[in-house]
This record gives sequence, C-alpha cells and structure tokens, in this order.
Amino acid sequence: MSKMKESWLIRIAGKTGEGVDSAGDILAHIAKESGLEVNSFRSFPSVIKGGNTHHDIRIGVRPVLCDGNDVDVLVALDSGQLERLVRDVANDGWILYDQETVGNVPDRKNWVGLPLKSIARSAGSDIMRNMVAIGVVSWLLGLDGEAAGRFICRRFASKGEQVAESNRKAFEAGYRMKHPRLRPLAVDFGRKSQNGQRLFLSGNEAMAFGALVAECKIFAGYPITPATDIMEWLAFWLPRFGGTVVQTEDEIAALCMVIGAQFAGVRAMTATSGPGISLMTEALGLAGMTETPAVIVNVQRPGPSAGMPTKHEQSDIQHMIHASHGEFPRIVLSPGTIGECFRDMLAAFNLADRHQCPVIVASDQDLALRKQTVDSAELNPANVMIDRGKLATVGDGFQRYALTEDGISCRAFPGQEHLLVLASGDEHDEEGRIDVELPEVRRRMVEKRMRKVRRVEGESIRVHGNPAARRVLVGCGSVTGVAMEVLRRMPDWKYVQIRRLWPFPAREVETVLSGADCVAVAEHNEGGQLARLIRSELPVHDRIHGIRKYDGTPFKPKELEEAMRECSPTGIS
Amino acid sequence: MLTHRDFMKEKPTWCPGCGDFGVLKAIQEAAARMNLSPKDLVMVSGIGCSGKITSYFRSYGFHSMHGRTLPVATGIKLANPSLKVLAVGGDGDGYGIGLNHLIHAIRRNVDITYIVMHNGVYGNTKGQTAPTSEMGFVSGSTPMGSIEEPIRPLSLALAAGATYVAQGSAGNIKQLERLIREGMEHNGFALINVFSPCVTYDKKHTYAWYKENLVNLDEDGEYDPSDLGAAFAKVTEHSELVIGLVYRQSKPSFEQLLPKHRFVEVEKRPTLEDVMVTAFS
Repeated sequence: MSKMKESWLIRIAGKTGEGVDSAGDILAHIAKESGLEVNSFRSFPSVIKGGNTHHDIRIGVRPVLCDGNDVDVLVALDSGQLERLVRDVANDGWILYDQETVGNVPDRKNWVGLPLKSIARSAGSDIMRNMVAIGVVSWLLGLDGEAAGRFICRRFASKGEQVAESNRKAFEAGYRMKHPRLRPLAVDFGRKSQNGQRLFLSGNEAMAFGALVAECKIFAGYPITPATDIMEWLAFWLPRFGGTVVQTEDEIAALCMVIGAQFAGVRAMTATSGPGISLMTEALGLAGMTETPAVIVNVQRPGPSAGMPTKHEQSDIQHMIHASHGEFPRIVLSPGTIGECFRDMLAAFNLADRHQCPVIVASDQDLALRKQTVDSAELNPANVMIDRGKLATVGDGFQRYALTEDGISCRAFPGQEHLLVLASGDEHDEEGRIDVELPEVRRRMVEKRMRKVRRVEGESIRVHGNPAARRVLVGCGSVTGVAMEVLRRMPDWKYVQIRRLWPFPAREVETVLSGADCVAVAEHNEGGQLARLIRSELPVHDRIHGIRKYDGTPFKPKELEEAMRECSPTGIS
Repeated sequence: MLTHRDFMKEKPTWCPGCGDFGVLKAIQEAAARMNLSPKDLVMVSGIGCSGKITSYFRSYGFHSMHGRTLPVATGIKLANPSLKVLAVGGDGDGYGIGLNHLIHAIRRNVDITYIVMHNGVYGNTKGQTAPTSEMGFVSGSTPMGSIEEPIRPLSLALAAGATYVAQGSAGNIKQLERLIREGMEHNGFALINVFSPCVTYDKKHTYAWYKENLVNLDEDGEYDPSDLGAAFAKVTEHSELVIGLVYRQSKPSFEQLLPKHRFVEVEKRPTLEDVMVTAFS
C-alpha cells in the first residue's frame, strides 16, 4: 500500500438483520474516538430481514467526504456476500470471511478465514459475529482496543450489563486474535487532522437538529425511506422542547397540517421523498396562493412511482422547481455537506417567514444517510438568528395581502385583536376577498406574489478548489463531497456547487462560468435536469458536458475523475 | 353580550333558499351564545358552495382546498390549542375527496368541530352525483342514474370511534344551533352532519321532504346517546334519516395526550448542547 494513502475503506457485508448496520456504526465511532475521520454509507435493500446489505466505513486521516473506490477490507458474513462483492476489493485488500459459514474459497494470501461464529458463541451468542469481526478490523487499523471496549459498554449499557460485557468480550476476542496472515494497515495517526470537538452524524440528523434549533415546533409527516430518520429523530427530541410530531394519514395531510400550523403562527415542517413529494404537490400550491410559509425537506430517491426506495438519485430537481399547477414563488435550497444540511434548515425557516412561501430543502439519499465526522463548529446552535419576517401591528387599514413594493405583506395570527385574516386558495384581493372577477385584480395579485422572491438572501453558489481554474465542474447535493475529494487530485478544475436551485442564481453562475474552457455538470439523473436548468436560465451556456449516473448508486471518486478527464476543453456536447 | 350579527361578514352568494344559509345562521348563533370572540375563532372551509362560508362568517378564516379542511384545521389547533377551530365543508369535500382525513381526524380525536353541509349533490360544478347521492340519482355525470350506494356518514363516524356524532337539518336552526354549540363545547372531535337542501339541483330532497322523513332523536325519551350499540341500531333502522345527538362519549383529546406534556418541568428539558452530546458524539 502506498505510503501516501490517506483513507481506508472497510466494508462489512451480510444479511439484513445480522447486525451489519450496528457493527459498522460501532466501528465508525471507535475510529472517531481514536481521532480519525469517518464517512459511513449503508447500502441496503428494501427487505427487512434476509436481504443483502453492506456498510461502508471509510476511515481517514483527513476529512472523508464521500464513500471510497476500492474496498481495503471486506468482511463477509456469508458466501453470498463474497460472490457479490469480491470484485470491489482492491488488489492488495483483505478479504475476511467467516470460515464457519463460507466454504470453497481460493487459497490466496489476502483471503483470511476467521472462526467468527465459534468465537462469538464462546463470548455468549452467535449473533455477536459482527462484534468479533469489527474487533479484528480495529486491530488491523491500529485503533485503541481499550477505548473501543469502553465505547461498546456505553453503547450497550441500556440493554443491561451482561449484554454490554459479552459484546465487549466478543470484540476483544476479535481484537486479540492475531491471525498469522494478517498484518496491520499502515494508518499514520501522526498525520490526522487536529480539529476541535467532533460530531458524527448524517445529513438527515443534521437537518432534524437544524429544525429544532430553528424553533420548529410542529413536524407532520408520513414514514418514507430515506427521509424517515428526520421524523424519528424529531419524534424523540421535539417534545422535550415543547414541540409535536404528528404521523399523518398521508403526505397530503402532512403538508396541509404544516400550512395550518404556520397560518396560526407556529414554525412547522415536513420531510418526505419520492411519492410523498408528488402527493404534496397540491398543498404546495395552497401555501403559494395563501402566502403561508412552509418548510419541506425532499430526500430524493430513484423514481418514478415507488422506484428504488433505498437507493440514490437526484431526479426531482425539475419537479421541486416546477411542481404544481399555476404559478407562485418558491425557494429551493440545496445543501451539499452535513454542516450545510444544518444551516440550510435555519435558513429555510427564516426565508419561509420572510418571503411567505414554501421553501423546499433538496436532499438526496447519499447526503441524507451517510454519516460523517464533522467539526462541532459546523453545527453551532448558539447565536442563531430567528427572523419571522413582516408581522402586522394593531392599527387601522390592515390588509393581509396589501400590495407592497417587494410584494410581501404583513402577517397576523389567529388570536390577535383587530386583524382578522381570511386566507384563501382561491384568488383574492388585498383584503382576502374571493370571487375576484376583475382582470386587473388578478394581474396585480399574480405580480405581487411573484415579486416576493426577486431578491433572496443567502448563499446561492459556492466555489471550491482553484478559483482560477478554467475547467468547471457544476453539481449540487451529495455530488459535492465526491467533487471536493476529486479536486484534491485535479488542481486544474474548480467545482461550482449550486446552493440554491430556485430562484436560480443566474448572474452568479454566469460570472463564475465566464471564460471557462470546459463546463461539466455532474448529476444523478438521465435527463440532465441540473444542466437543463442552467441552460434555460443561461442560454449562452450551451457547451455543457453531462456527467450523469442513474443506477441508484452515488458517484465513486474515480468514476467522477475519469468522466472529468474525458471532457476535453474544446468538446461540445 | 354578542349576537349573531357580530359574526356576519359579506353577504352570501348562495342561491336563494339554499340550506347553507340556515347552517351559517346556526353557527353564528352558537358562537354568539358561547360568547366567543371572533379573534379566537378560526373557521376552515373546503371547496364548493359550502366552502365559501369563510367569506360570510366573521372570524379568522382559512378557505383551503377540496377535501383538506381537516388537516389544515388540525395544524391550526395543534399550533394554538386555545383557539376554537371550526371545520366546515360539503359532503363531497368530507365524504368524497377528503374521506381519508375524516376517519383519521376522528381516530385522533383532535378538538375540532366539523360541520358537513350535506346536500347530496355537487352543486358548485352544476349538479353532478355526490358520494351521498342515493342510488338512481340522475345527473350530468350519471345520466342513466347512479349505480353506487351512498356513503353513510353517521355509521362511518361511529365505526371510526367518534366521540361526538350529531345530525341536524338546515330547516331546524334551533336544534342545529344547540348541536353545534354542544359540539364546540365537546372535548375532542365532533362531527355534525347537516342536511342542507340544494334547491337548484335536487328537486326531491326539499325542506318539506326532510321535515316529513327525519326522525328526531332528541324527542325520543328512550334513546341513550351514550350507547354505541343503540346508536348503530338507530341510524341503521332509519337509513340514517335521524336528527339530534346520535352519540357522545368522553375521552381525552389528541392535544391532551401529546408527549410534550411529559416535559413541562424545566429540569426535564435538555439544552441544545445536551442534544449534540447525546445524539451526535
């Protein structure tokens, strides 16, 4: 292995229900506690028990922003996993398998059979094979075994001392096994980045925490992969802060409840994916027409219809921008890192209140589910600014939908004296009166609403890498992590991250693309939805290379790198 | 002392003689008798003739979408439980496009009063068959007569576990006012189905027809509205053509059961820093 190697990809593979997830999660925490950086990514089927699953734990001495290329250590709990995944293993990678469940393996130096089952049994139960396995891997990585044991005891404390102790014993037996073939990986702990207090969390968790910090008090939603974590996280924490999570009968009800709560003056949100965002399309228009703030997280997954619930895609970009009949203003934010997931939720609630319109926060499966170590400064809950936008004060002449220069009028909430509001999904005048017949009134009200988002504050694009580079990669969401890693090896490129999909930051993008020799847009859909958006807003940019992946899995760094190298400076797509 | 005039706003545009006038009047009377301030009342309506009621009733109002009154009303009530929340809509709204929400609102027992103006026809789109139209109903969408059984709102609500079920008639404002008032005083979800004749598109189910065919439970000394079995039997016996209080039971409302009430004491409440350490370290 190269001395310059900065990250190692460990893959634990088994059947769903065998503890693959928890083993990976524990290994990730142990590595984090040893001061290393971690990105973990679960690949799982839509099968609760018995389907194939694997958990990638990528460990590094510098921040790890995405899943890796080749597997350095594959832990296979059964032969099916070997057949499925052996081609992903690096030439010099280790293949560890349970010799008691896997037979007929080639006799090669890097194939190591381990008696996982019998060791687990002597520690207390067969099910702890996963703990034995991560014990072996922790030794390979040179992680602190004592600290790991303490972490495992803490992790299982709620299940009783006996369970905690037998798990620790299983881990320790693996850690001390010292198989004659195994040699430790050369992890240079001396080179690890020295950061402040570090956290380990997913994009979904960061968004849920962001909502809590933004003083969201009501979450209404319907369980849907891969967005459900947000609901479950808030169901635990929100009541502790005086809030409520309602599990609704469908996503139609979810967004309608959010709109009701926001109409009554309380910050509320929902989170969904795939079919859920389709069902919410109707109520999006209601929020738009009644000028009610609403915050909607959409964790994109492959569609259409049920598609692939547990896989990755970015194919709702155009939907999020256009969904609904009729025209109304909306804002679509696009975080690309764990820290941005947190901060964009703060921004989303402020923007929704300020512009009185729906704000969609566009996530995707990879960004939502991968867990990463991040500096705690990235999620700072202190000194957060809460802006409720224009609010009415008691006085004569209050008109809820008064025509103003920026289109935004004052809100009033039920319970307030002298400010009775009628909100209506029907076209209405400044007072909220329906049955509008005058063309002039209709025109004025349309224009009033549309001009509300003419000026939207906040980060709209972010440029990574060499600002002088003349080759430009454009992307959004989880592509950002992969792009940032690839840029480390491609100094003649810069990466332009679209942070706000709508209103599209045309001027900013135009400026950063001007003079580029090569523009490539990397995204996870077949039709080039982000590329089309750029083209429709910037007609001058017809020279766009499309780098597109839509097989349900995120870009691997080497895939993106190769695709970028294929984009010649003069090529026209 | 308030009167129904305190809750009057625009002049209704309903057809002269429409049952909805009676429903509006009964709601205004009930609000006045309860001495509710318009600022503490929110009326949420749906789409259709009945949906326009928010323009005619003086309070906070939300004229929402077809079938979506109840989730919007639920959001309002959860955001501010001190408000009185009235959801009002038509039978197409509540028993057609919004039926899913009705069953779940009943099951949750959110403290909302839901008044359905039942006219058995889609009036605002010029008289098509509704989910409540009787078999054989001839309309633009069923020129050969409807071949579907109508929804039975009362049995449905009872089966869903409703805690307050009543039925009134636009032709009997005095009784309707009382049913609405008691529904608003009821702790939990109250369904009040109101026969509200469509004088334009249904020439059969007139005020006179209802007067002749409705059985008034409030005049039945034997009837016990706390007996679920008796309620089912009664509404079935009369093919749902009853008026009065059908069923009432006492149960905590959804809002009263919310987990947040377990964390009222300051010492039970974590700080944001606690959350970060517990959840992300």
